[in-house]
Amino acid sequence: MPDRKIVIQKPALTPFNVVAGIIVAVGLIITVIRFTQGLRATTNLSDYNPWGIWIGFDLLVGVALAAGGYVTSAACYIFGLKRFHSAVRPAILTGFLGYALVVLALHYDVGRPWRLPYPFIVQQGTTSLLFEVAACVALYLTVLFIEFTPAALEWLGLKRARSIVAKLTLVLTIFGVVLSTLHQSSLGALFLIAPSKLHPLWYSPYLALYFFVSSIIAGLSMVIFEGSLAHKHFHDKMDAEHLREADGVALGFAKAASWVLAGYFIIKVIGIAQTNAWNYLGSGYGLWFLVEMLGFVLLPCYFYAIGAREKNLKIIRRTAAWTVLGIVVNRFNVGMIAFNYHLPSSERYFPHWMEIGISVFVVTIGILAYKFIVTHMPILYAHPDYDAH
Amino acid sequence: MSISRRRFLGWLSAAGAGTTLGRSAHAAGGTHFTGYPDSLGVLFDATRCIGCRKCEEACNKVNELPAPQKPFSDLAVLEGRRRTDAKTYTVVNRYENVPGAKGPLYRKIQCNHCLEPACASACFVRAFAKNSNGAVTYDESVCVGCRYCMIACPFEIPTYEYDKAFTPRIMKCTFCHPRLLKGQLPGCVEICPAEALTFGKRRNLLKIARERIELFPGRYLDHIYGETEMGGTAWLTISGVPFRELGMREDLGTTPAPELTKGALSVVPVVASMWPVLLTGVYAISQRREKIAREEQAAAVAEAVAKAQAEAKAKHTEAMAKAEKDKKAAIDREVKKALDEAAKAKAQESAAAAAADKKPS
Amino acid sequence: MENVIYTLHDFMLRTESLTYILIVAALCGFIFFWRFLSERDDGRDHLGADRPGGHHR
Repeated sequence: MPDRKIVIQKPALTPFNVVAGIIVAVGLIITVIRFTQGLRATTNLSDYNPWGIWIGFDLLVGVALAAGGYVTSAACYIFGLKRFHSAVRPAILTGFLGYALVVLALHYDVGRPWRLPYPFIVQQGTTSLLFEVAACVALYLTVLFIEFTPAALEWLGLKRARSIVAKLTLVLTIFGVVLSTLHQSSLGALFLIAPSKLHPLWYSPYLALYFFVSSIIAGLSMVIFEGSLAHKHFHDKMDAEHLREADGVALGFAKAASWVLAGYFIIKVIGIAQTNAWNYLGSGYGLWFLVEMLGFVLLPCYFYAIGAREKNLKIIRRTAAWTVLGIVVNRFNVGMIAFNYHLPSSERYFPHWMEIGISVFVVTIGILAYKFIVTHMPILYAHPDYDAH
Repeated sequence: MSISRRRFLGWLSAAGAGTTLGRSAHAAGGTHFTGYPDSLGVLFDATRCIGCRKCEEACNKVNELPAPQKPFSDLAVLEGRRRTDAKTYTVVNRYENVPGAKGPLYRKIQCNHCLEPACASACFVRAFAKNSNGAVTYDESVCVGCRYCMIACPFEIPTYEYDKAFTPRIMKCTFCHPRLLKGQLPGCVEICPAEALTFGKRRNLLKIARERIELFPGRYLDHIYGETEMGGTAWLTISGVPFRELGMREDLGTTPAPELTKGALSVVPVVASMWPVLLTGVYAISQRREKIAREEQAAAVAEAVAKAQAEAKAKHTEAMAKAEKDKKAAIDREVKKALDEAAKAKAQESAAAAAADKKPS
Repeated sequence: MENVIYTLHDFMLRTESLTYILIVAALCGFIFFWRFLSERDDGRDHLGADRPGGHHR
C-alpha cells in the first residue's frame, strides 16, 4: 500500500476530545442505569406517552437525516450524474453510521431489545407498518454496510473482495432506493393508525408521502451540510477530484433541494385542502404549523434558489443547516409536539435529562466513528490503487 | 388428494380469491367483515353505575394484580381523574356537575375489546389476538416492547411496566379470557351490585341497549357507544348525557383501525415491484445516453483523425508531385545541358575540321 | 369451516403475509430477468457484470 496511511496521533486534550470524552462517559453511566433499572428510571415516558425522543429524535430524525446515502448514490449511479461521484462515499458513510446508530438507539427504547429480531424469526406481524419499517431498516442497514465496505476493503488492501463488492454497486443502489422509499414513507405512515391523537394539521392521508419527500430534502441538505463541515475539518484528506467537484455538488444539490421543497410545500397545502383543516390555522397549533411551513419549508426553498442562481456557496451552506433543523422540527411535531395534542398539559411529555443524554451520546458516537473512518479510510479521496466504481 | 386440495383452497383464500370470506351481507365485495358471529361483550349502563369501585377490586383479585396503595373501599380516589396503568386493568372515574344530570356520574374504563383491534393491527410480532369469544388478548412471550400498540389504541388502554428492567410487559384488561374459557363471568361483571354491567353476546347486548333506549327515551341518549366507534367494540356504553361529558371521545369515527393503514400497506408492494423497473429503466437510459455520447465522441475523433490524415496525404501527394516536377526539370536541364554541350562539342569539332581542311595538305 | 375469515385484521394478516413473500420473490426474479434481458447486449447494460471499470466524464 502506498503511504496514504495517516500517522496516528496521540489523543490530545483538545476541547473536542474533552467534551466528547465527558459525553461518552455520562452516556455509558446512563446506559448502565437504563439496562439495570428500566425505562422508568431514565425516561419520562408514560402510559399516555409511550414514545419520546428516542423515537422522535433518534429514529424519526436519524433515519431522515441518513437519507443522503440513497439520494446521492441514486443520483450518481442510476441517474448517471457522474459529477456527484466524489460525494457518494461520504454520503454512504453518513448513511451507514446514521442507520447503525438508529438501531443502537432502538436498543435503549424498546423494552426487551434482545427480542428485536423476533418480528422476523418468531412471528411476523405483517399488518403492522412497524413490521415494514423494521424489515426495511434491517435490510437497508445491511445494504449500506455492503456499500460502505469498498472503502474499508481498500484500507485493508483486500483487492479481490473489493472488486466483487464493486460489481454489486448497481443492484445495491436500486435495492437501497426501494428500501429507503418504503421505510422513509412508512415512518410517516406509522401515525396513520392514530388519527384521534395526531393534530389534524399534521395528520393526513399523505403522511407517508410527506415523510418520503422530506427525506429527499433531508438527504440533499445533509450532504451539503456535512460537506461544509468536512471541508472545515478534513480539508487535508480530500483529493483533487473531491475538491474540484465539491462546489458543483453543493450547487447541484441546492438546486434539487429547492425544487423538491417547492413540491413538498404544494403537497402540504393540498393536504390541508384535502382534510379541510384550514380552520385550525388560526389556533396556537396553527401558528406553529405556519412557522414550520413558512420558516422551514418556504424560506429554505427560496434561499436555496437564490444560492443556486447566484452560485453563492455561503448562502447554500447556511440554508442546508437551516433545512436540517427544519426536518428535526417536522419530525418532532409529528412524533411528539402535535401528537397527543388533545391531552391536558399535565399529561404531556417532556424528555428526561437522561433521555437527552443518551441521544447526545449516540450522536457523539456517530461523530467519533465518522472522524476515525475519514482519517483512516479512503472516503474523501479515491484510493490511488483502485478504479472508481 | 384431499389434503392438497384443502391446502390449495387455503392458498386461494389467503390470496383473497376464496369464496369463504366471512359471513357477511356484502360477500360479493369480499372484504367486508362483521366479526366473530357469537362473540361476547358487556353493556355498561352509565345511568346505573354508583361508583362503588367493587369492579376494580374484583378485577385486581381475579387477575392477581398488586394491591393498590389505598384500599378499594377508599372512595376519595374518585376525586382525581385516573386511567388504567400497569397495576390496574380497570378504573371508575367520577364526573360531577354534568349538565342535565342530577348527581355525580361514573364511568368504568377498561379495554373495549374492539372488533378490529388497533393494537393487534399495529403489533409487528402479532402479540395481540382477537379471540372468537371477543376477547383481545396479549402474548408477552413474543412482545419486544416497542409500545406501538399504545400509540395505536384510540382508547389509550394498553399500559407498560416501565419499572421493570428485564421483563416489562404490556398490561391491559383481558376480558377475563381465562375465566370466559372456563364458563365464568368476568370479575367485574360478576361483582357489580348495581347491574350496571350486562354480559352476553354482543348482538344481544345491542338489542338490550336499544330496548332500554326505546323504553326510557328520557333517560338515555339515542346512541350506543361502541356499536360503530372504530369499527365497533365488544364493550358497549349507554348514557344519559353526551359521552364527552364522561371523558369519552366522540371524534373517533367509524373506520376500523386496519382500514387506516390499508392504503399505506397496499403501496408497499407497488413500490417494491415498480421502483426497480423504473430505476433500472432510468439507469439503462442514462447508460445508453452515455454510450451514445462515447460513440459520438469516438466518431468525432475518428473523423478528425481521418481528416488530418487526408490532409497529410494531400500534402504528401502535392509534395511528391512537386518533387517529381523538380526532378523532371532537373533532368530536362541536365539533358539540355548535355545536348548543348554535345552541340557545342560538335560545333567545335566541325570548326576544327574546317580549319584542317583549309590547311594545305 | 377452518378457512372462514371473520375480521379484517385476519384477512389482512393473510394477504399481507403472502404479499411480502411475493415481493421477495419478485425482487430476486427481477435480477435474473434483467440479466437474461440484457446479457446479449454489447457489454454495457448488464446488472453488475461487465460494467465499465471507471466513471467517464
